Amino acid sequence: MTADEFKIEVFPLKDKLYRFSKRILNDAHEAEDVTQDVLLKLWTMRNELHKYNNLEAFAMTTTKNTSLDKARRKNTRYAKSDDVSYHTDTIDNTDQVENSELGLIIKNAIANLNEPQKTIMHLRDIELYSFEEIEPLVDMNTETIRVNLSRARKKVREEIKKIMSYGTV
Amino acid sequence: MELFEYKNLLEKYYEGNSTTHEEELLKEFVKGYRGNDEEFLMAKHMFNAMKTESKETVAIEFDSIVKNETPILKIRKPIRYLLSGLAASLLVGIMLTVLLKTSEKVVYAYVDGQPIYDEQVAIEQSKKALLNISSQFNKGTKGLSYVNKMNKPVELLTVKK
Repeated sequence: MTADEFKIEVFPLKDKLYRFSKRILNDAHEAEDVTQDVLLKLWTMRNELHKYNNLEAFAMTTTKNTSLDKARRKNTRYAKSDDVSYHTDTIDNTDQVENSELGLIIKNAIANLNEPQKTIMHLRDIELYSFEEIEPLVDMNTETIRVNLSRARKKVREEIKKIMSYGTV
Repeated sequence: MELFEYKNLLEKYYEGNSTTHEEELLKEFVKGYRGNDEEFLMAKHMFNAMKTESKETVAIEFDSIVKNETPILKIRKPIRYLLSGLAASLLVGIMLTVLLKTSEKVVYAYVDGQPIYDEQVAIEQSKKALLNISSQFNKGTKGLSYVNKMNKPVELLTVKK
């Protein structure tokens, strides 16, 4: 794979890889390091990438494993990060609700979900993956994924309901 | 599609049974929803937050990846720390060894310019030297007669030409 091919086929995955790593690690800086590591690894093995039918799935799996490895080493796998402030320069201001207090509470609610609910909800609702695409990444069948996804969505809904009923937003 | 159908779709969404296409339809509807239904309003907040997250990007330059063909910094960082640690340990080890060896080798005496590290040998050598000196004390008093000349005038001591 040439540099140009890599730039077109692999490099655009960087944001997706970064978001996925951040979802696992709950840390923007660590996620950036992981993303860079994964891209470097893919670039180093660029001549073997044609062997993989689904490059994105391979890149996401590598990101997941690297992130989990990093989390294990730093013992932050289940740590709850207070970091719910996202890169403001990348946030679209078209909808005022996005930057509201409730928006941050929802992001926090997703970040605080247990695994694998958190990863499944991220892949389905943020990256818009199909169930077939999620299966190999979480090593589960579609039915189990649906159950976990349902639990995750309902938990987040409950958080929103609590906030709305308190009338704080 | 009627409102109740969207309501059913929303329920399907929470059950995890909606398809990708159904979710697209639901999100599109909720985005433009202007009513007071709590369920739709909650969904609106949730979808908006997710949409914001899906736009998040990372600032990594393509050139930075290509230039670092081998992930030198990332992979070698732990090795660098390991080597630094080993080097520091080695240095401390050498220093301790030198210090211990130096402290062990006490010079007790010098004989003919050579250092004596053995305490017993040094004692023997010292004894020998003292005996040599003391042996000279018993050899007559002739040499001491010159001490008397110390009391005589200086001119007597000068050599006549």
